[in-house]
Amino acid sequence: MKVVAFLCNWCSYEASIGAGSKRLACPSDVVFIRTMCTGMINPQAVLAALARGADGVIILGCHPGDCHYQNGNLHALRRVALLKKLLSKNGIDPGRLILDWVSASESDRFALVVNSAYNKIASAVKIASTRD
Amino acid sequence: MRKSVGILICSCGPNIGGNIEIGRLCSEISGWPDVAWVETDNLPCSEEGRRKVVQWLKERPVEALVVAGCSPKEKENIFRNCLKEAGMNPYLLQFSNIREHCAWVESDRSRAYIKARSIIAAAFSRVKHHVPIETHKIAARSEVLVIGAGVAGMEAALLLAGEGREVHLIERSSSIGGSVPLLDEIFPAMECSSCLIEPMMDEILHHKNIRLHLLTELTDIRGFCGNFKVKLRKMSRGVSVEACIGCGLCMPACPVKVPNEVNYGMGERAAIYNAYQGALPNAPVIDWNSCLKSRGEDCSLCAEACPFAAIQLDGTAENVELSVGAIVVAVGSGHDGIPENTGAKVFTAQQFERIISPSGPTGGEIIMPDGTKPRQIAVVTQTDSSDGNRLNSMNSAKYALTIIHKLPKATVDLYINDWRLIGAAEQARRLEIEGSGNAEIHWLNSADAISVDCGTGQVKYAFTGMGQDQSYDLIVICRSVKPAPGSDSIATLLGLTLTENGFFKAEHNVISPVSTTVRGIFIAGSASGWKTISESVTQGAAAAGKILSLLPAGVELELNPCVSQVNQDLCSGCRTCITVCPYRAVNQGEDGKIIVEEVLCHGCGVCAAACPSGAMQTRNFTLSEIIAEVEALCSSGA
Repeated sequence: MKVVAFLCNWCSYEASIGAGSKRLACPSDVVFIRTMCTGMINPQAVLAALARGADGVIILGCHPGDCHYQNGNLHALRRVALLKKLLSKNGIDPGRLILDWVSASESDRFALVVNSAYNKIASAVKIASTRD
Repeated sequence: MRKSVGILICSCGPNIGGNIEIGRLCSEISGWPDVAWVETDNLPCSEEGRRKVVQWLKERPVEALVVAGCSPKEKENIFRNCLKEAGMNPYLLQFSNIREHCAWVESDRSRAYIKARSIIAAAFSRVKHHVPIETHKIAARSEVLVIGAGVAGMEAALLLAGEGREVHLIERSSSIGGSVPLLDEIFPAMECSSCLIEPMMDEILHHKNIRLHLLTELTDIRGFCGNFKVKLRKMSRGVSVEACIGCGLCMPACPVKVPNEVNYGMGERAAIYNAYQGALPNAPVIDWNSCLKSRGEDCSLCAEACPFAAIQLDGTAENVELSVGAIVVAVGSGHDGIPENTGAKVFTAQQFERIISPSGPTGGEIIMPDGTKPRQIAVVTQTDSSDGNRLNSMNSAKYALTIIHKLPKATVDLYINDWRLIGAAEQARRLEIEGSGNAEIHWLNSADAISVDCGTGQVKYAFTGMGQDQSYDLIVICRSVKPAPGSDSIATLLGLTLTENGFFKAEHNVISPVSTTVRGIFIAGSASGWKTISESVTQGAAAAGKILSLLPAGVELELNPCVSQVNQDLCSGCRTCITVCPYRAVNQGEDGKIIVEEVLCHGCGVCAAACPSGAMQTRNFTLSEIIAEVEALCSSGA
């Protein structure tokens, strides 16, 4: 498995630091990319990850209403909805792309969300491989 | 992409070195093509470590540097400064986290090793795409906008103006002072509130550095700390404050009579009126909604009555644009409206405050609409927020004292759930009330439901669990404190957040109570939840101090260089970027070209992700940089 997780600088990245400080492990094969805001994540970067062999992509932003840049996370929400349709139309399980919200103080939740997203991606990948 | 890269791996004492074999990692990485050198240090962020980093960069120059260590949010700037000191552009650095994201959480040493290598490979791949980014400084505006001319806003304005700052003080109503001049006396000293506040208001009106904008609201704001561009809408007063001497001849001439909102519907006023007796500036204002002339009728009786040609019946609203460096939000609080089912014997605290005020509808006498003096009075607190409890505690004690003083033959029943009287002076007043013989205190349980029954003309309060209803001649209800009307729209304009009760949210209630999450915007007074007058004055002063320290005269602010930029060769002018920018930093020039106003751009990158042609890129987070990182992470072995 290989999962790329995009984190926003202000909430989810901060939570990842908190999780690390508390020694809360995420699966080893989840790798993190820091962006300023989930609103800056280009759909091409998500597709590039999947095209290059990532089994899934996780995008974690600030909770709706708490975006450091007012509403970047809501742009991410819309783009993810469209991307899921695009994946679906191209025979890729949309469950391999997961968007969730984690605030800077939610380090425990960060580990929970990443682990659960990882498991969801794993089962989506498994279903896909059984179909093949 | 070819570029010679230096790689620094921090061991962070045992924090990273304890779980990752750094020696092996260094020798493996030094074999990667384009890696000029790999160094490790026990604590490169220390003073000694930083000296070593600068020395390595000077002795063995590279085109870019990767630092693998802790969180870039913590230490990135330290290493950017090392690059600067070594004569490099500070943005030719990629800082990656192998501590919180790897060494601290990987239980298996071999997995930790592979993951660290993968993280460093991604940073190495990314940094080759980095380009120098220039930082610019611009002068900060020294002017300050203060929203709300209540006691907090006035204090902030006076301190800033005293320091030589030009202050634009905007106020939605037609007079300054906020709620304080409407009060009769201030608890617990029972001092005359207008006497206390008048010198301050006078100073506001005459200060050479204060530009007062009455009947004015904020309509638009762009920009950032040091350079806010604000738009205001200034309604016409209908009376020239300069020409008017406050003689009042216009008011009796007006044929209109409407309920007086400053006295909370008690009594009437004309369409041209003084907000209240003693309102400053001392000039009436025209209520355009009820003025016959503005309703299309042929009436100019007030203008004819004015001996000084001060009336401006053709007054129109004007738009004002200002540039300011900082903003103080001091809009105060509001209160629950007048209960719909109250009869002539039930008053809210705000109404009662006007009744006992010498400038109110009864000239300060507690008399009923039929002219009788009430004999049995109840003061009831109905509070659902802790903020309001404090206010209602003080108000109920104040009203009890006032009633005892003004109507020695009356009895007062106080219905209270939580009497928060704090400090020796307030406690002394409590003893005075309890010892007066005229007042009785009834403690309400949280289960007690209070209901008003004024259907029969006999005012009743029903308290569950109290056995029987009580009838009173007059009842004062102290209700909850609410946010000032319009707080939500101001918050939306300024990008501020509100608490769940709808008040402005401080950056931190304890350590930064007047700061907000937006740099350069401060809050003071009851805007962030009800405050006493002295707390409001303190917060106004605090906000002024914060601004003077944040933006000293002549200060230059470093602009965030990591903002979006347009490649004009790729841009088709589709304007998608303009529609998504939350800061209106992207505009289309007259030549049709898309321009990013760098002083307004916050670097969120939402435009770049939306751009269909890849023309818009956010510096230090370009698509090629991110894709390089993604590809390296996906192809490496972790």
